[in-house]
Amino acid sequence: MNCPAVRDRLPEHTLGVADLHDVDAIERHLAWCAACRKEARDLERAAATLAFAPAPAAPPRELEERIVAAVRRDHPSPPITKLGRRRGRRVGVVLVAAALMIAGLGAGAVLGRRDAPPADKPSTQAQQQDAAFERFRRIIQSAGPDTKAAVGLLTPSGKVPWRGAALVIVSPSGDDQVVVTVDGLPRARGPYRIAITDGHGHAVPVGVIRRLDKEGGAMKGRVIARDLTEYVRVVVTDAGGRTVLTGVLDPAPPTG
Amino acid sequence: MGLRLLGSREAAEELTQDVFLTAWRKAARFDPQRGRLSTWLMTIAHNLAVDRLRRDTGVSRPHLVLVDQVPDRPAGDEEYVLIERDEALRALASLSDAEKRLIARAYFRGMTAREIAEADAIPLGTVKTRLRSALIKIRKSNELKEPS
Repeated sequence: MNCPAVRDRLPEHTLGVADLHDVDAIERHLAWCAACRKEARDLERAAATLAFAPAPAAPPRELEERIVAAVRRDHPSPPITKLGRRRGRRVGVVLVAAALMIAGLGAGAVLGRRDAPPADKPSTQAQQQDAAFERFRRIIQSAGPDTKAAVGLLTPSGKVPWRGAALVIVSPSGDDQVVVTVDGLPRARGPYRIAITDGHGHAVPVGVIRRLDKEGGAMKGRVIARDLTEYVRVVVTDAGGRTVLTGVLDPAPPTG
Repeated sequence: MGLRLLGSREAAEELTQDVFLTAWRKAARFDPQRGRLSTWLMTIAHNLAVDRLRRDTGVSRPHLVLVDQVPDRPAGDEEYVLIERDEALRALASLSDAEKRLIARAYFRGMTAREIAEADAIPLGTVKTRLRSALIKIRKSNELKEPS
């Protein structure tokens, strides 16, 4: 089954009502075709939303006892010993933000503030960009060889000591992810909203920064179920909707 | 959801028990990194309900694909169930009447596109196109949610 045939059947497949004789072929195709798999995942998320639409009903009290008794009669659950194939891929992407934090690469570190002596601080925007690329490099490498990444510095429009950096990871097989770090922002103007936009006026929210560290820094990451290839600008706005930081993403250099 | 799909309280309670048994048996497949427990359980419930619905109506069993699939957000508080309902209703509100009807027939009644096309006397291609556009609208509605 080729891609158009699979795409034609994906809605039914997603809703659980595909013809049985099509299913094996669809699954085989999805096993190797990353583009169709991504499409399938997008539709599956939409379908998962539907489950919550009906009004919740209050179950009878004894139902819980019946369920517990049924589970006790059943065999014990197998131990969780191994990550599945898809889980491994997702974890690899989701952990980007976590890896930054676990590695101690907080907002300031990414921007070169906390892990470099003053004399080594990048002085120009190009040098800062290079520094951001370098600090994100190991993170990009951890996301897999086929992953594309773009990095950009976020700068203010005026002469204020605010700054930021953004990393976008575009995965051919999994979800895309945005990680944004900011530094030096005044608490009084928060909360801050982050969005990533394409060249056609479409914006995808990345998150809301409600807490800043003592140096006005924060990090926000989000896994986004859409292709972010065309999304090249990151905008941070304050509580009043005014832009405080903005920046354009450039492809990161090869990680090899 | 069990009531909505199966139509009786007794069947919904049986379904609930089966959902938890299935979850118990497939617990190793649940990954909290990939989504909330509530969404995973709901997905199992839908699969089992459609399975039962079609078995009861004598239609050959459809393939159920969602048990292992990934919900869309990290695990969180149970209050998210209420938020999820609000989001689901908002997503459904973005659909046209024709799309709502098709989604209801496919998702909540387990009808295939061909069955819907025959029942409504509309071309199969139209049904597939509308199902697809409905899911895409729902997805877009989800994307417009303000992340916390």
